[in-house]
Amino acid sequence: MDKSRCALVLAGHGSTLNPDSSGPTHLHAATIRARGIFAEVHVCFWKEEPSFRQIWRMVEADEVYVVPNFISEGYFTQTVLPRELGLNGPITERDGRVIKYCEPVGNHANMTGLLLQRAREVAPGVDLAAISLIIVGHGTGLNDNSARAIRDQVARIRALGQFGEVVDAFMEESPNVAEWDQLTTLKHVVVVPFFIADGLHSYEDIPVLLGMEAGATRQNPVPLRGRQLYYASAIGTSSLLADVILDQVAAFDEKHALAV
Amino acid sequence: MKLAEKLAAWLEAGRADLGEVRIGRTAEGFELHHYLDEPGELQSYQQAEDAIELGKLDAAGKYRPLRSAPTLQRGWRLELGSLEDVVRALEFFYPAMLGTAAAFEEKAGRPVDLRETLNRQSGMYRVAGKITNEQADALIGEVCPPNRCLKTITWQIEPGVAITSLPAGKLELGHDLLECGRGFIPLPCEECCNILVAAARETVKRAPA
Repeated sequence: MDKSRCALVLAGHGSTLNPDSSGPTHLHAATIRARGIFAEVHVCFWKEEPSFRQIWRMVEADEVYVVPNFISEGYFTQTVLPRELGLNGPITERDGRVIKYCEPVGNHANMTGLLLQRAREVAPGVDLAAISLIIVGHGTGLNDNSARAIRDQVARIRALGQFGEVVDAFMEESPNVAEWDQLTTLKHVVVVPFFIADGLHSYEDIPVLLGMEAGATRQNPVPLRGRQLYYASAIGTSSLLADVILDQVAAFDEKHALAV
Repeated sequence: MKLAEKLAAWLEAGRADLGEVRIGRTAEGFELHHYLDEPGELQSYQQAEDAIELGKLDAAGKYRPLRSAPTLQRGWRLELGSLEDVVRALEFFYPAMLGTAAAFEEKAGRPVDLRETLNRQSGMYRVAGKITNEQADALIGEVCPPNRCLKTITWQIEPGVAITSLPAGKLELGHDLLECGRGFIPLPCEECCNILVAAARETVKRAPA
């Protein structure tokens, strides 16, 4: 991939409360920057600086790829980001720039490999056929597409036939993760949060919904409701995510090859 | 003009402070440090990315979601070889400020009034637009004073409705908020940040307009 005249912008959520929320986005940016593929690699955030609005004061290249470091297509990628970045479609030409708006990182098919890796490493030695795997997402009433990325991943992993069962669950949508023991049937239950950062949701909210202590240092498995519960860290913290970000850039080029 | 060239011109003109960061030249390149520290017995860092961590927490270990808060920790020295590295580090300390300062210097700044920013919001922040001008003025006085943020506000509450709750210097781009008496690069606030938007939402929810 030669993007030596292009800029890459990773757009993340960030937080005004949690200093670690933007860590993965910074880390993946640094990884990609070190590879020297792009002339510039920047980050911007909804809740931190630079804001989405400010990013155009930082970018110098005329051709810019924006990859939302978000886990799913939804409210942020379809409403907030286009509005704040001033985008009017996948390709926006403005102020002498061409801005290429990629799909969110979590949408890419290669996220499946990361999910499988997380699910396997959290319960080593347990036969995959004896595991109920739950992929947990946020879910929101603000956008119907928010849960789609999770459901797509669940369908892909289920189709592989490796795990005993694979289900989706959400914080703010049905099926709710609090009902994890009713959503699954097997003794070993592995829960992988499909989130970009280990923040409030994956550290506190989901463990509480699962019935575990919030923020407690966990030793997997946790015996709970007659099962063995294994809780993984957020998917977005994987160092392999930098590759999926680049995959999303390549996927954009492939999809829009005729339009450019 | 590229940001690195712009920065070179500013340094040449003796404008070597950006917020609380002072930029100095060394035999090998450049050295950044807190403006209240003297170069010398400081912990040394060599990567532009180190500025992310240096700017993240204050001296007491408290998170700095607003990087322009006057709470940058002291005791460090960031040694960098090239002007491009300096630009990158400064973009971590004070995100987007070099480009914004350059834009205002070239009369290309585009201040966005608070009302426009609030009216653009959706989802949980849509309600923030219901804040009255009086409530907004008082809130800006609480959220944006120089002891909370070192940026210079360039926007108004809405066209013709100026901010009255802050010291005049906070609204003048050439004003030396840190009173260093040295050349500096300003930190223009082109549009209110999400911290103020979130605070406006809280104000409306507490006392509906």
